[in-house]
Amino acid sequence: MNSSEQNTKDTADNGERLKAFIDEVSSFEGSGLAVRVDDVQKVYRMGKIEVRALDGVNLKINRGEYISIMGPSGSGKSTLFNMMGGLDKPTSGKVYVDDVDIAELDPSELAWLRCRKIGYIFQTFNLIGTMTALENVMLPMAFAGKSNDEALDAGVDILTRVGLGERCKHKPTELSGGQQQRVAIARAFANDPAIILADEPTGNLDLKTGQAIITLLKDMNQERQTTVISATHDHKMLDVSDRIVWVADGRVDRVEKRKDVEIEVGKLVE
Amino acid sequence: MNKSQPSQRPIPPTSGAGSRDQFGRVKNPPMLEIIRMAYRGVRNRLGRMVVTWLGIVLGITFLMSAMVSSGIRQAVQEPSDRRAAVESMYGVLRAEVGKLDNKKIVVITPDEKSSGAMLESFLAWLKENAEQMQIVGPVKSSKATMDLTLYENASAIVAWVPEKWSLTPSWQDMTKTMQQAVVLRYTPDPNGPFIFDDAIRGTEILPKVSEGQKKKAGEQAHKQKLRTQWLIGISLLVAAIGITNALLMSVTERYREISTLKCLGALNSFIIYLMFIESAVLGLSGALAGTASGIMFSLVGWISSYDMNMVIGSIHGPELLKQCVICWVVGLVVALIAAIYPTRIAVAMIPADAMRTEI
Ligand SMILES: Nc1ncnc2c1ncn2[C@@H]1O[C@H](COP(=O)(O)OP(=O)(O)OP(=O)(O)O)[C@@H](O)[C@H]1O
Ligand SMILES: [Mg+2]
Repeated sequence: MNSSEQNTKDTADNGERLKAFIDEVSSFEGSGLAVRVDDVQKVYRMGKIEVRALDGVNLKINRGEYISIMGPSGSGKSTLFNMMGGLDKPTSGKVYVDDVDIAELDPSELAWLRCRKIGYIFQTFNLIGTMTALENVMLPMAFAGKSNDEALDAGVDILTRVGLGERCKHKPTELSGGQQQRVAIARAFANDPAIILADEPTGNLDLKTGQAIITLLKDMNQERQTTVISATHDHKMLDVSDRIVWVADGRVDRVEKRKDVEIEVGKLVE
Repeated sequence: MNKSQPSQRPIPPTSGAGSRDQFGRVKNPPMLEIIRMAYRGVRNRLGRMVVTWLGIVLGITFLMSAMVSSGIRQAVQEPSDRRAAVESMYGVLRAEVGKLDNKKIVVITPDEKSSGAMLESFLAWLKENAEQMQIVGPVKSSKATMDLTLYENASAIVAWVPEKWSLTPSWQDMTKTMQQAVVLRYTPDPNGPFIFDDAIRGTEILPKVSEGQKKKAGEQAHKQKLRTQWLIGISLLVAAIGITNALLMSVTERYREISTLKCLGALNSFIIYLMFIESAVLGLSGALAGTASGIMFSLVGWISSYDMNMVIGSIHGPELLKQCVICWVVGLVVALIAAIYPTRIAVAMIPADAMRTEI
């Protein structure tokens, strides 16, 4: 063993330590991380068959970031989502939202997390069919303890913001797919959450409508400094993302900054 | 907090952004709001729930009509049964005594006023059908035994006594001074219409209704009662299974809706309220309709064979209200029991199910 090799290794170690230290210091004032995923595994057991949907995922997402999660079908995007959103429990590993280990929350705190901290947007919109657009948007506000009058005003405001001020009284069946997803977005933003989780929000929409939804999400992200995490197959999403997380076989394959991708996409386009 | 933390980096003591304290707790929306939501849910699904709902209506209809009918039976059928009994008694008396005009008849009653209605209609019938008949009494049986002059020149004694005559003087002493010695003895049956028991001519006892016949009548009434109860029980069971099925359907149908509610911050208790209130709305509205149709069916049934005014007149307001309340409570309880299993399924759903694209 020669000493120069030893030195390089030391330097590398020092670098690691320094990085860890910076992480640690920054976490004193809150790490600035919206979500931290720590070695999360998720195994689904169906009888004798085991599906390893997530196989040791590590991920850090900063506040205010717009993140796209991409990967082939079955790679574990939705599963990752459920873990980050506190919608299901990991088999092992930890998820921190605003530096809080969500496994430690009791049911009503967990409900609070889902209600106030995170807004969810689904591929299938998931509006409550028996309620009007406005009632759908007011629902999370009711869970948050807002009075009916407050919720009414806020609901109309936010529906107006997504361009559906005139459609408050309409039931989901009376709205187009794109309009339904707008209502869903309004509902997700109803309690002004810190994080928006969107699972293929444009998956059921045509190109143009999808584009409009993406633009809306990006605008809201900018306006309110909301962290947006979106699983997608939609390459249009890449344009607005700060970072893209590529998932494959239940692992994070690579994480790219938009600039790098722009070059790639540019290449693709040419 | 960092026990199972795999990273080598220690997590600093938590406060501010890293603290769990920043998390509040979710409370359920006001009950009125939940009720409104549940009501809306039922109303919007009523098309598909209509069969279930009719099941409840049917069950409660049975229950209500059984209760109302028993009330009407008491008020309408009994007088008519009594009238028939009185007529047959009168027939026997005529057969034994001959023409009743200008005859003296002694009526003996027990000390208690246990057989009032029957006796009254019998006496009324006698007065109506015989001219210048002399009715002595009703004499209480205690008094009847002391004064034998009562029976002088009497044509018949109608004894309204429940037990075999075991007093002194005996029938023989009492009938000694009578013009004709005819004694009709009546035993009021506590379980059914009055039965004309036996008659004595002189010292001879002529039984009119055998013990066997009496027993058979009693058994038949009991069987009828059991049959009605069985019918009510079965129909309520069917109603309960119907509600369970409808709620189960609405749970599987709303798999995504319920898990979405959980994603929006609904507590399990909210889901439980929602399910139970929904079921209660179904049960109560079904019971309301069931009581109405039950009253209608029993009225129609009785009016078709008895006098309408009599049937309607026999309905007693407070009693009817009591029966309605019983039906509403039964409908509600059945509905709540039926909601238990579907609610357990709804509570077991995890919010992540909202993401599933199938179903
Ligand atoms: N509830 C579940 N029970 C059993 N297996 C599941 C469940 N949810 C997901 N899986 C499995 O986990 C793996 C990852 O699924 P996931 O839904 O996360 O993929 P995805 O990346 O979202 O795919 P897609 O792009 O099609 O939505 C798949 O093999 C899937 O079959
Ligand atoms: Mg998916």
